[in-house]
Amino acid sequence: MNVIEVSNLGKRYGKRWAIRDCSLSIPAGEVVALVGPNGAGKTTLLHCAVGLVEPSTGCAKVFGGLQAGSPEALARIAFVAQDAPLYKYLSVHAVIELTRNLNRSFDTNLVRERLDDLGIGLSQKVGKLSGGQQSQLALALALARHPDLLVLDEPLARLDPLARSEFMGVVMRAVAEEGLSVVLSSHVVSELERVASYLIVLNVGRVQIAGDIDSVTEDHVLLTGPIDEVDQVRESFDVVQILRGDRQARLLVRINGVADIGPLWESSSVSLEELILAYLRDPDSSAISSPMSGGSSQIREVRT
Amino acid sequence: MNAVITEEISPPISRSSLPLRAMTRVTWLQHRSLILGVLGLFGALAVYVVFNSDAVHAIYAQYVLHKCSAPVASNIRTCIGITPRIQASSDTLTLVNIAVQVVPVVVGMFIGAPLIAREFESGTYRFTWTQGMPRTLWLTLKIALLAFAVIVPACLLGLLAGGYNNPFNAIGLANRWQIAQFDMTGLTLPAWTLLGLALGTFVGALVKRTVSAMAVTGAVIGGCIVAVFWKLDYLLLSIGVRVTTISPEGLNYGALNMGAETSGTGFGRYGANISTQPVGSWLVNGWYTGPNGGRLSSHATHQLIIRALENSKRQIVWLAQHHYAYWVSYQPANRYWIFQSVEVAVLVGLSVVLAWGTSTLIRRRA
Repeated sequence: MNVIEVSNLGKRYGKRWAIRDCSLSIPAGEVVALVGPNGAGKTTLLHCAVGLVEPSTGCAKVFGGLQAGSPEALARIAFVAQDAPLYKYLSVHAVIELTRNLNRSFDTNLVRERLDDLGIGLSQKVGKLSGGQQSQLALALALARHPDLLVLDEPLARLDPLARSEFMGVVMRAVAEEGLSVVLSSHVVSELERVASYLIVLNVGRVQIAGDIDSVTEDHVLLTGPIDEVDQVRESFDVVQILRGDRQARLLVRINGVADIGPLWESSSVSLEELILAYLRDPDSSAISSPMSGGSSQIREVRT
Repeated sequence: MNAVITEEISPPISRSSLPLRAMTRVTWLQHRSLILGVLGLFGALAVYVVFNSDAVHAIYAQYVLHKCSAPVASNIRTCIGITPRIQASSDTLTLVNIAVQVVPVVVGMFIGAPLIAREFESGTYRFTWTQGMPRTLWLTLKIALLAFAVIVPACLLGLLAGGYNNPFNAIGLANRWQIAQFDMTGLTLPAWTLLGLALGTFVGALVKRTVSAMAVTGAVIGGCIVAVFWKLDYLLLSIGVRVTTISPEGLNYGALNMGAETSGTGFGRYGANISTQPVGSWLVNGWYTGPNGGRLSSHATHQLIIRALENSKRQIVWLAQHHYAYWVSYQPANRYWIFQSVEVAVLVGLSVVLAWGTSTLIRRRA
């Protein structure tokens, strides 16, 4: 079952399209990293999925067919928005009470235990908490709903490295204990490899990569070889990026099951971060549905 | 270090299909300061009205005791002392009536406008509208609860203000049909207050900025009240008027609307001495017709009065002899509650439309 499924999704604000013709499926039971630069449409996509935004075109379904934003869908999805917006003028206790009353199912004790671990007092005003504490509070409130799907929009952006680690530790523990699915958007790619099992790269409103992280990384390699044989390589592989030196070229390619490379070429694995950055640098590259031909003139070339 | 927990958090709730109790708790948690502030304003106004009302009613009790509505030789000396004392309180009457008109504006600006605008401004809509409760239900229950919180005290305040006005109406200093009174009864004041709340909420959802929404709401609801004072109430009360000709003693027709509350013949010293005018009715317009039955213009009426004054000490007789007649259009007394109901229906209808508009906006504009 797919926890999120969007087809031909588009959202327009005035004349500007935040996302357009986006179709993707996010499988259940995964920790999905939704990656893209600022303005890629990640937040809009997630807002459509949790029912905050009504798409201009297409539709968003969750849990194999429920309308996004429907009461049945809302009961099963917990969302922590970017910057974890909470009522700053209320006490922590009041926010917990408020959230409990807005949900049919809510585990108050779980939040209290979590906040106790974090040293967050219930009588403190939310606005007096640090950014990290507010994020932790928002996460605790979300997890107390025991959702089937947890959607996190840029949760790491305003956290320091320690707080990031703690935050993701809580998420991963919940995944292990409750088996919930997680969709996590971020433009901080460095830490995703450790936590995510599925990757979606969204750029300029369209999906560039969507797949299991291990498969995606295994499917891409770095090839280094003579510059005059670049064109032959481009005929055999989908080339994502070319870095040209004076005599040698370095190509990031999608191998598509092809194993044959020339004797003068060396192959090495690529890190997830390197792979993502290569795709983000070239919004026209795509590792899904309609792979680019190796000889495409749209491939980004970098002269070193 | 953890702060001391002073309040025990209750266990998960079981919920009926309409989560009224849960939403009451949510509304209270979020808006208690504003609700208490506005209720404080209602309370202060109520105390002010009651305080002044007691004093006026004490004098009016004397007025009734001495039957001053029908002055005769035996009571005239006492009544001459009583009536001016009630008159002297009319400045306070004006103040009370103005102060009560402010209630819908305050409710619209301080409770209605921030309701949605603040959610957008602080981004908390992304938290609240992704919880288990659908946002349309959240909005409906929230508006309903806040409406209840302001309508009940507004109704009580309207009744108090009506009671305060009674002595003035009874002696002919004021009239329940007058705009200031007509729009602040126990029915119309809560309806205006509801409109203020609904309008503020709608503007907040449209503007998405709290201060701007408050300013726009204040201007619009204030503008509506001014428009009603200026023209709309007159237009409303002009619908389906009855027309009758009365004695040309109606020369003093400006007083026709006064003092018609207590009896059919005794209009008090401020009422017009026109026994044909239906009791408690509201004059909308008055005009003269000439011998040919045609309606006289203002200028012609003015000339006519001068001629009547010049030609006879008894102008009424002179006018009648020359076949001039005075006509009035009026709303009969028994239509008072019909018109109250019409105004309430219009205001409640507008409020419902605005609430529906808000619901549409928050579904589409998040």
